Amino acid sequence: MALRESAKHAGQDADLRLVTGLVDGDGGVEHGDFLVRMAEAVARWQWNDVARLREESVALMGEQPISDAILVASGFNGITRVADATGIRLDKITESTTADLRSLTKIDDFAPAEKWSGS
Amino acid sequence: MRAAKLPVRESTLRAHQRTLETIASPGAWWSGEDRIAIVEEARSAVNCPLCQQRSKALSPATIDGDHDHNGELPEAAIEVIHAMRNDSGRLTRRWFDGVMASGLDREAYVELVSVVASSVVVDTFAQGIGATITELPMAQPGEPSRESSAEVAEAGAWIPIAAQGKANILSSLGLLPGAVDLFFGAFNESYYMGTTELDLQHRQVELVASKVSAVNQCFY
Repeated sequence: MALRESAKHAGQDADLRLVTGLVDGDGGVEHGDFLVRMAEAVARWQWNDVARLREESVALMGEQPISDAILVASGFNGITRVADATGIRLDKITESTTADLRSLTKIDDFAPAEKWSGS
Repeated sequence: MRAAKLPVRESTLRAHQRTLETIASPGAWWSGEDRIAIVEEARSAVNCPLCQQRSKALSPATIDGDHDHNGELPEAAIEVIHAMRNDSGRLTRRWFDGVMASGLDREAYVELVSVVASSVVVDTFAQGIGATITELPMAQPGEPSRESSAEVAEAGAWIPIAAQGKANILSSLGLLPGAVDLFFGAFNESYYMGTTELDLQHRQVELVASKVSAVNQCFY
């Protein structure tokens, strides 16, 4: 994920620790707090929460952006399963473009040695 | 997508419908009927009591039992579908070896992964925007093609991946070109791939994507 790169391009500094709950707030991303809550509810298939957040959000962001946020969350709900079920390793490109994000969010904790050690 | 509470782009509607129609057609290792049964199983797996117990356990491998399933697919396929749908962040090489030892071909496994993940994309979006889950099309007759790619390489993954590719995630299903086309046909609408338009700032997209990866305990 190139969140830090994107934030740089926008001339702002996003706090990536928002992703793993290490900090509160919007992380320097417009509606970041709301988007994180929506992404989590969609990823966990908590449809009552999603419905409530949808209601809240339309006035906040507009209908199409919310629909697109749910679309992004849906796509990543699928692609994370592909990554997890194929046991792929980090490639050099992904590793280099996500180094800062990985360091800040501690996301590498989700890749224990057991992931690749056989029986 | 019936009764959607939010607007849906025409391109997304078309892509997701095409995904379901492709699933209903014979694949490389599974028939159209099998592939529809895989999606039906993935849809019902969310209510599986064994999966619910396992997801609460410190290690899913410590909980024995039988999945609550529709009975139309081999046991190994049921395990893959349920584990992918309900606890994908804790899949391990040991789990994969166990599944393969119970009789799945690696090609069958790759196709299974693609069908389940594609259906997750389509169904999550439909439910997320407040629509009813799309009815599955009728399975198309025909035999699986048994076509796989020879252009694969060992890259430390559980399965061989496409030999050519910029990022491993794009190569991960490369053993079966049809599995790549199926999954990315659904996924590409959800991210900056090709001509995809999203009414969000780039960093908002990355924030949502990163949060979903974290919730699913996916390191990639």
